[in-house]
Amino acid sequence: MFDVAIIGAGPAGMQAALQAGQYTDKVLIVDARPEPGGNVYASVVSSAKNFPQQFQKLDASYRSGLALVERFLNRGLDYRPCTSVWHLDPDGQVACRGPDGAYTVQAKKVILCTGAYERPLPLPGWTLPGVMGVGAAQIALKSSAVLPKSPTVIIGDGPLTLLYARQLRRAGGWISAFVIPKPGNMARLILPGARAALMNPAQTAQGLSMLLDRTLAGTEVFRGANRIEITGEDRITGVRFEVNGKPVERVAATVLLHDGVMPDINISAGSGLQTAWSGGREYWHPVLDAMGRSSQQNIFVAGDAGGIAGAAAALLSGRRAAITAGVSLGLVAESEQSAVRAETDKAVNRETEYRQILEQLYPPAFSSLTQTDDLTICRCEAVSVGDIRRELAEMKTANADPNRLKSVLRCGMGPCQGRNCTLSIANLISRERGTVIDQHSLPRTRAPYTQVTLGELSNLSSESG
Amino acid sequence: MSDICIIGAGIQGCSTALALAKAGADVVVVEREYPGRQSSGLNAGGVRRMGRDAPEVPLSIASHALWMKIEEIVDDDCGFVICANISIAETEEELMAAKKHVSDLEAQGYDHETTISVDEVLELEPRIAPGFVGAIHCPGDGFASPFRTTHAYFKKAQSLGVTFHLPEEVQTVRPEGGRWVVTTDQRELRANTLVNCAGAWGNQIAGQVGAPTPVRKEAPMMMITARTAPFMNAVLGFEGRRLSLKQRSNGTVLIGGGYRGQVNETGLRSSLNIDGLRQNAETVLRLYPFLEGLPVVRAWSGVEGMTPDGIPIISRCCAHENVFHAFGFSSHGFQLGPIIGDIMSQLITDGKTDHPIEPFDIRRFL
Repeated sequence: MFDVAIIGAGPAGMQAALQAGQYTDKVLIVDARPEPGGNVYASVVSSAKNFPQQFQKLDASYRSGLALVERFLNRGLDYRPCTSVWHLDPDGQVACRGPDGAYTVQAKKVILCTGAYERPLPLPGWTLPGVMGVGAAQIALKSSAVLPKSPTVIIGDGPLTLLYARQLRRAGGWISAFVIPKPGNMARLILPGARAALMNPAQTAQGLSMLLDRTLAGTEVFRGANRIEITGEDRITGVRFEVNGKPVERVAATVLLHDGVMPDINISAGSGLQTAWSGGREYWHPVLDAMGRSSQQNIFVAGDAGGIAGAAAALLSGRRAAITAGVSLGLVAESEQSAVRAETDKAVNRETEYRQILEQLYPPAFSSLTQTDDLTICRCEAVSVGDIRRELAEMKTANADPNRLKSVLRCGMGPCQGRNCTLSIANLISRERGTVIDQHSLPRTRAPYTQVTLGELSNLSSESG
Repeated sequence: MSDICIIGAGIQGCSTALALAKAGADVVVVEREYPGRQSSGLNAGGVRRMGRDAPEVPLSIASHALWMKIEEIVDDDCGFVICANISIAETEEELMAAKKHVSDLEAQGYDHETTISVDEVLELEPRIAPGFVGAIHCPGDGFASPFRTTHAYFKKAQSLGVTFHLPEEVQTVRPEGGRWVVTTDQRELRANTLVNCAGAWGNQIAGQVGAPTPVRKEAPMMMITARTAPFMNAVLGFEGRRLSLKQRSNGTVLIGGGYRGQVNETGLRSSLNIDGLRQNAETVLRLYPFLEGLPVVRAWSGVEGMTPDGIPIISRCCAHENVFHAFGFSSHGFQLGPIIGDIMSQLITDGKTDHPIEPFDIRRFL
């Protein structure tokens, strides 16, 4: 029996594990990747070792993760890489799948540090080979020094796209064009821009320098693009769109999509944690109190998995969740909890607020895209916008239960477990019905959250720990 | 004011609504969520006559005749695939018992089940692993898509004028001047006749009309795999182990067998029991060891109403002439759905049915 099991070894998970390791030696940390670091510090250790020259060219914020990851690894905690969690029972039973098969462990407290992933951006042609997320391309660059096939076009906007463009340029690659599916009304950016600059001058300066980089690199920037289409038959050939009513076409061998990131809630929603929709921030998140406690008494959430606040805040909330879990286990004094709260709340809130301003600067585009009937929304089961519209028209009731839609059309039933379509479907329902997205727009999540084979399942062992 | 108010839009409620609408009745259905939300949409979709409890055999055979023309009835093929049902005997004792079961059926005049030899099994299902001694064989059974079937009944009933109030939860039912007042979270409905098709929640209604039953809730689990090339034809199970295995036309493999998850405290939802899934997977690999690398895509459980004797309640109420029950199908009601509609419609409109439903009378639990 573990005192604390932590799921995910990004900044929040690593910090939570380091903290929990101070009050108990019964700490388990599992992570799906081969190396700790999460998305933000993906492969930081092997990158420094295997591609030292490339590594030095990556930005300082990424390189700074090396010290944390090394500290984490040197602590000798029970850290299990290449291990994914495919089921979590609210009583603390964690079903894992690792290199040696599937097994369950029992933990008194579980801290979910499952991070974030990119919002899907369904556009005509988004299912063609050659299209991927900016986040995935960035991980390929960090972990394997892989550059995308040129010419590369980014559809989307936001800090991650700018950071990736800079990293790619330093690694010898280039983004030929940014296609931004948002109105180019610069005036609305002045106020949030000024607030961002006041709150976090260093990061704002970095942001401006990345914008300057993009200009200096000769990257074309098309703002307010409409009717964006990725063209090609078996593989992409380019992008086509309109700016101010004028058609534009550009050749592309790689198209990278980005529409911001959202918490990865599959495990938290699947294990019954109460979930809410944040209208301002355009994502679902588990409902948490100020200490990272969820609606289930044994489950805590830290880092971006609980709401996007970035790596710095993730370190703080990871620590806070571990201390709170320690208090509930009776292993940490209550006074420590108040202390960590006092020092963490302000900083986390500040990071969160900064993120919110960034989201005002770069609001998600998904809800304003034109959706034609032939657009595929659920890639796994090949369900189109038209299929959903027809079914919605047939459902005579006012509310359109996403579970019912899923049962009728199979959308969200494929191997991605709805990660790539749930938001698009909720958005389509809200637009068709004139309703708002909320917690009821989220269909039930079914285990296994990640793949487990019949053979692994049949050999499932229960680790006494 | 309606003639008839049905509570529950599962397969039994929707089938009853359709049959009554065809008979010209004015029908309203109240459903807490949406048609097929619970067991009717979440079950393994078996359309089997094989292995039924004796009282269910005539009903199951009559229902099978309706399944053979399901598209005529609901304007949808319901994903119905006709195939054999095979139940593997692994020991001589199991085979002996199977032979006795088959001869008992024959004595009653039923010939849908036969026992077959190892060679005959392998001829039908060449890829089954060895280590068994024979099987029961029921050709011409099959499986369908349960949600789609329930939904097809719902749509057909709706097209014939049945009113569905959903999502709407029944809070109370009470008699008033010989009629029934059904209070939901949205409205008050009045009807001459009340039909309880509330599945696992049927007892909540039965209790309110003065006929409480010992139906309890359970949560059978199921799994479905990723798509794989066709490797089996029949629906397979064991005489001595829990399993129901079929490969659907899209290549996915549906695994059931009745391992139980846990019903949660609200009674509306359930959760998985991981060790049950393990046993279920183990049993699959006993038949087809080469499936060990096949990924499970989804596992789920649904809440189902179980009676103490494992057969449903299909009857006029013991406490009120104008109340009828069809619930507690104990995890094998899906195949019976088509005939239950006809039976209930006859009971309600003619006061009697030709089908032998005495064993399902609610009074056996009084």
